[in-house]
Amino acid sequence: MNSSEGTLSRWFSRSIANRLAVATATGIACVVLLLAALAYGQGRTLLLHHAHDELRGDAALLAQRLSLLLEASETEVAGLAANSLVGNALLDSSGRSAYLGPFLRDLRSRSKFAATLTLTDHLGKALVLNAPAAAPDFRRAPWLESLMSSGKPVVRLSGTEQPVLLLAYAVVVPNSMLPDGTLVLEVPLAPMFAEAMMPLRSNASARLFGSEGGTELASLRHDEIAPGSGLTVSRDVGVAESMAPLGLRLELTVARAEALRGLGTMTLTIGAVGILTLLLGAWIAHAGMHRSLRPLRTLAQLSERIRIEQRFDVAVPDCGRDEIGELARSFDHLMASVREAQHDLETKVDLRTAALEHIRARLDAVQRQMNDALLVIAANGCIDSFSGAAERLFGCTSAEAVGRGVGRLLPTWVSLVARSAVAVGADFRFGAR
Amino acid sequence: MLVGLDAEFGHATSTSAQAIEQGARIAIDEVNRAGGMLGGRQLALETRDNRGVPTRAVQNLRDLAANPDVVAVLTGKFSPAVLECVPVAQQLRLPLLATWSAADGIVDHRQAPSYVFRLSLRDDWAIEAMIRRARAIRARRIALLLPNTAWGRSSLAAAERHLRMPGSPKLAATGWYNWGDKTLLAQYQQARVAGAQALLLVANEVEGSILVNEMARLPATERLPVISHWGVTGGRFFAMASPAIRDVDFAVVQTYSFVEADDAVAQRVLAALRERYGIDDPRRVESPVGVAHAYDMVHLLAMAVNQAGSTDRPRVREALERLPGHQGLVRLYRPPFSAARHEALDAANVFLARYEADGALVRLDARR
Repeated sequence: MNSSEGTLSRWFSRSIANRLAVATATGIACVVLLLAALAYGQGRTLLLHHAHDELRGDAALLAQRLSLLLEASETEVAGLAANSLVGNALLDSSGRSAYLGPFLRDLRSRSKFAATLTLTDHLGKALVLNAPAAAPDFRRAPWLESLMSSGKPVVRLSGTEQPVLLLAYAVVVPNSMLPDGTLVLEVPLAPMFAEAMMPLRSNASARLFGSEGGTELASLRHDEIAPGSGLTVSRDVGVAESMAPLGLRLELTVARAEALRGLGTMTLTIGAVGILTLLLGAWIAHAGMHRSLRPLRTLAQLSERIRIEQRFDVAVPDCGRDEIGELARSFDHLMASVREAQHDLETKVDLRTAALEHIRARLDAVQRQMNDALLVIAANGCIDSFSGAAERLFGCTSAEAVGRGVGRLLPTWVSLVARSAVAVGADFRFGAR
Repeated sequence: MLVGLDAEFGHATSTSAQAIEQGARIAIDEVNRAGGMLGGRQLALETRDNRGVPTRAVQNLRDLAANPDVVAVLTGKFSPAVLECVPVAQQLRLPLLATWSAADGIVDHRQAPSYVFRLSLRDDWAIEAMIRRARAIRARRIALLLPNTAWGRSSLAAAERHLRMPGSPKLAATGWYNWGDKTLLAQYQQARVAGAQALLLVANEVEGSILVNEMARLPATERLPVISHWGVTGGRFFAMASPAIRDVDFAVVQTYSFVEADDAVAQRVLAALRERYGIDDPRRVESPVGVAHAYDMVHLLAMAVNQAGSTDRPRVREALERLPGHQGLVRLYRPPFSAARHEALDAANVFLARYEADGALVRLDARR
């Protein structure tokens, strides 16, 4: 951990570009997080709105299909009630089962909903029906009397466990123009509801209610939805006036989780885009800064080269007109000043050297003219100058003597001088070379 | 003492129930004026409307049977309604007096003792007369147009029997229709295409008038002679089929006509019709067979009650089987019924008639 922290710290402190990239990435991350939060909230709202709209659309579609199916049933039974074969059967006691029975059974076999059709007399007694089950008995049906007296079709819901739509039409005998029987269609609502439900887009649960106490008539549940955890849309099933008393109402419910199913994907998408933006931003910041700092690096390299090569005649390249360019130009001016100072110094050195050469030449001439041997001894005891007389005195050339310790030529003298130095407390040592 | 009448009063275009009621009331008046029955008990008519619907007829019959004063019940035109009543009458042991319905099964029900007595036509006789008419007009191929009811099936059975006779025309086609159908043209054209030269029609006034009106719109060469069962005369057929009826050769089965009837009984009934119902011309008597049959049937019932000495229905039934001869309006009954025969008329009473311009039904063989 410490190692990685150290590496990160070194990387962080190594370059302004690195620091700027981190700063940019941090900024972008903040912005992305903010945007993501906003997008999440907005997306959630939009998804809920969308789910609501979809539910409403599905409810409208379902209501329309259900309405069509109901009206088709109504149209069918109304048409049959007015069919001369049915009216004829009402008048034909002995033979009606032979032709109306197969006719009605054929209708049932073609029906998707196993609807039961029953022809009854005016007392509600079944005369012919199309189902193999026991004949229904409508003799005590509460609607029979009003149907027989008014001829107005009856539309009701019956049954609790398996609700059934009951459509009863008066069969009017030709020319009496009065009801003398009924044709009763009983359609199980559940399969009809399922048929209407088929093309729904949403994965909604649907329930059908009737007006009588809001009784649930049919339901199609894709899943169980806990109360309060779903979106619900209610809609009346628009039907013809004759069916209006049924008060059919649809309720479509979809779980919130289902409605927000796209939210996870959206969040992931936003996150991925944010991370990409973050990386891209950091890279752009890093690359941009890296490019901006390139003149600085050039200046640093120039400085290093000047230091190593001790050359001050290096030209600083043009670095633009920004702050770094200004710095480069200042560096260039500084180098010009250094070059000028060096030139002055070298001139002075040359003059001083010439003066020293002159002094030395005069000194050499003096030594050469002297008859006394002259030795100049440096502080370290080595012979620094050896005159001609000394050559002759000591029997060695100046070249041989210079640089050698004086002790080799004058050991006694040296011992004497050393003792004198000790006596006065001075540190005086002659070289042994 | 009551005699019930359950008939199709509520049928919008039917006149048969009203005709039966007229004949019955005239006879009841005569019986009551003659001192009544069983030592002076007056007879009255109790009517019910079945609209031609079998279940209503049964309900009415049960209602009437529940009244102990009802000694017997007259029935109306619609054979299916009467057929539905037969087993109920047998069960209730209530004499059922058919005065119009012609289905053979009404009397031929094979339940003994039978409580059903008919003073009317049988489909068998009607079809026989119709085929005879077809032969008379030299139709070698005929077609049948029948209602999809017991009446139609009864007529078909009769036709098949009679068409097996030597010299009978061939059956080219059989068409069926439902009561309440709005057109019969398809069946008619099918018969014509099949080569029929005459059409034997079994229909009431509604379908009969539809056919005649449709035929009249066809070219004259495409109109077949129509020989009709008498159902059409039980309603306002002439009005409904006019003026098309003038363009169609239309003959119809009948058992009685007041036109040219000059016997004492007819004069008495015509006087009563004039007095009671304002019908001052025998040509204006609507559904004459209903009037005549009901008139005779009520007289026969009165005779039976008197003979039985009781209104006990089984005894009245027995008395009906043992009645003496009686000169009625339609015929001389010698005797009307027996234990083996519950038909008061026979094939000899059947004739063909035609509508004249004023709507009067006149025998085809009437004096001109």
